[in-house]
Amino acid sequence: MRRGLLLAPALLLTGLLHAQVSFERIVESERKPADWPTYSGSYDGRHFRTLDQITRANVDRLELAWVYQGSSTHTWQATPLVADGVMYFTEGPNNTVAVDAATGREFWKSEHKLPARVNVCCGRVNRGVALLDDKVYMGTLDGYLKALDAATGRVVWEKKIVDNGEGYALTMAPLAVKDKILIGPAGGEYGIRGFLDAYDAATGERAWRFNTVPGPGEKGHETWENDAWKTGGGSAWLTGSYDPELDLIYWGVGNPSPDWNASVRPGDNLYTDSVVALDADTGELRWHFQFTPHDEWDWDAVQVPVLADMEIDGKARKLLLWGNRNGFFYVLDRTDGSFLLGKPFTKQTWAEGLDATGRPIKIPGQGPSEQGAKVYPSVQGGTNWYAPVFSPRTELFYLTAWIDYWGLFYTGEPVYTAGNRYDGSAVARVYPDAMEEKDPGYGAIRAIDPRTGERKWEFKTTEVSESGLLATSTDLLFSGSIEGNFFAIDATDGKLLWRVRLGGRVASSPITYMVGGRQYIAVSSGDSLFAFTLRQ
Amino acid sequence: MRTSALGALLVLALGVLPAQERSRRNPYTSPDDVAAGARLYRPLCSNCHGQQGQGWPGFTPNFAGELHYATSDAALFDLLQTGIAGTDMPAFTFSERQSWQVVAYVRTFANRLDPAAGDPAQGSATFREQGCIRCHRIGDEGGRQGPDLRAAAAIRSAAELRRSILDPNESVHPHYFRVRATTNDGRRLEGLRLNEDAFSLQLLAPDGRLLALDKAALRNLETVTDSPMPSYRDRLSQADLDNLIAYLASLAHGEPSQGED
Repeated sequence: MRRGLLLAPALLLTGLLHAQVSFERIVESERKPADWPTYSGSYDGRHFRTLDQITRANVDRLELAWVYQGSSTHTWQATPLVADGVMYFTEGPNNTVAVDAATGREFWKSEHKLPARVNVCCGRVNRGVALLDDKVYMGTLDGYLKALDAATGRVVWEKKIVDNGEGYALTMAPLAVKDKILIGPAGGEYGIRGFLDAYDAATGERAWRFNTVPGPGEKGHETWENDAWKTGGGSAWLTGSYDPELDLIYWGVGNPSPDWNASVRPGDNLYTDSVVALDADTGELRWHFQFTPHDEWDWDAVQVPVLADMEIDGKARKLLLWGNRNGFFYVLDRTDGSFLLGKPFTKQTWAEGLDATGRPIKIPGQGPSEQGAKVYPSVQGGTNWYAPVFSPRTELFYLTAWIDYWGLFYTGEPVYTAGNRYDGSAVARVYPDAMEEKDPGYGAIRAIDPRTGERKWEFKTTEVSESGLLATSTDLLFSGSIEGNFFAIDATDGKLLWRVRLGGRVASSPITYMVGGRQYIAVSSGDSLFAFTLRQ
Repeated sequence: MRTSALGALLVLALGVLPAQERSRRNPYTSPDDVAAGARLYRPLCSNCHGQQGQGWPGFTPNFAGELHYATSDAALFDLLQTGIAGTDMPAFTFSERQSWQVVAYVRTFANRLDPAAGDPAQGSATFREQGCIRCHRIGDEGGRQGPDLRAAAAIRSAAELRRSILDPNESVHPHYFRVRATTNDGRRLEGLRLNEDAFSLQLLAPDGRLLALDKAALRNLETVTDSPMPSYRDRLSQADLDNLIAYLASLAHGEPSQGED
């Protein structure tokens, strides 16, 4: 009898812990902001949350709630997801973990053994998971898309969708849309031929593929010559965004291959360095916009597409805001891709400006050379994959910017062998180091007015940052730094409101969520994850 | 007869010893091999390691100095095949010969010192008479405001060392920038800039104290990029210079080099 009574409450608890994240829940997520059910918080890519327990007045009462100490020394690039009080993330490189979002205690860990040898350009990293219904989805460096049971971490299905032996790897957090899981490969330095795939969430069968490098007969193939398309690049290594009303998926595409010898791939090289808008059900291309045609510097348009709705000249517009790696800030109409505005946000020496269609007017002779060509910005660009923010309250666009720094671009003979780098030589000064250089440029959080492209203000840091941004409806903006600082500034004027030293590089996006009536802010630093809440 | 046949077998076998044998030596070290290694290094390695193998601080090592993982040619060969787990160093699809050729090229970075004609003992005396020891450190001796010179000759050529002595302001490494600050309550502080971020500053004071400052507590902060080192052009003869270089070279020779087994 007693035993029976004790069992009942335990079952109730288990029921609550087992998260069910339906597609509808993700669509509604900004209206139900207790969770963080998808990579960018919501499908709109804004990294803005309507949660008001933590305000500008009380943010200095934030205290550490818990730490999850990771057991990996690979850079933590994963942004965690939260649903119903359970937090899910990947631990570098390819383990998946579920913890209690109120205490950080682990529920389960699903390990994925990688071979000793993996072909990746930039570290053994993973940017996180997708949630749909009762499963957790992630991609591995050796090419597997995995579906795990959200309650136990057991593998429900796994499919090898790319061959890492040819330089393809999976590093992005997948995106769950309707009944499909969207994912694309990294490998733009290995001469891959990129794509964006959609897989049936229940079975793992591929539903469609969009080739980011079109082949013969495909629209856009005329922007390639000879066989360069076969190793054309066009990786897709960051999670895109989705507009449920327009039913369009927006995705940023990576650099053409080889990166720094463009002479072997004449033409505009569509759809590299572009944003593509695809039909969510079929993957068909509705429109595209190319930021950097015939890229010579490796300026992947791999940023989170930010969907903003603003009134421009008295008309309600559906916009796409984009701080691009090439150093320009763009405003596009996301219904048809038309170009509305484009302005540099950092020193750039490769283009005179943009023409009326948004196409850059390149300055001759700024490509890589044998002796090394000095170009602003450097290979990491004016910004990279770090999560930007749009606040519907301030109507400002915010990004983590690398300001006024240059790189030395070398070109060389590219030789393609599967599994080796195919990038056409090298760049010096991948990372500027403010402590080691005379003229390093600086890092900054920039606030840009989308109506004009002008800078409203900037919060300057010494070193450049790899941290994403997070904004809340109380006009708080959170970010971290490479030195391990984590801080909150005022989203209206950039004033510092709170900071803490976490001691390790912040290379993912901070998130916010509610559990047990308390609002948390969580961010990774070094190889650990930190959660903060208000002192009671 | 038998012994030499056995010897011949052993010589053949050495070329195919398993990877665990740390005493493997590089069989591909001719100038052609080094050039072949350079042709592989340039497109595949210089992105992260630098055109001159100098690396980027906190990211990749300086190949001129002591290497943490590549403690022998064999170890360097192995890590090209497997990458270095826990770091961003990937594995490469090289043949055995290609791997050895890259090893041969990478080892050329380690030997930058030109032979110097001069008397190290005289140089040591000059070093102290001219007061260099006041700002520069040699082992346990000397000041800290300038670079430690124990390994200087291992990573700088004689010509570079000469230039630093005759024209120190020509090239000041930002590592040795100084800061001058005034705190909100009027104290003035000065020292070598160790670290700076958006909120804080760390410096090494001339008396050897380590100071950490909140930028919010500073009324004024200035970074000084000139060298405090005077030029020794008018104080040293050509012979003095040669002796000084020879002295620094003699210190550097004590450093472990490319680590042969």
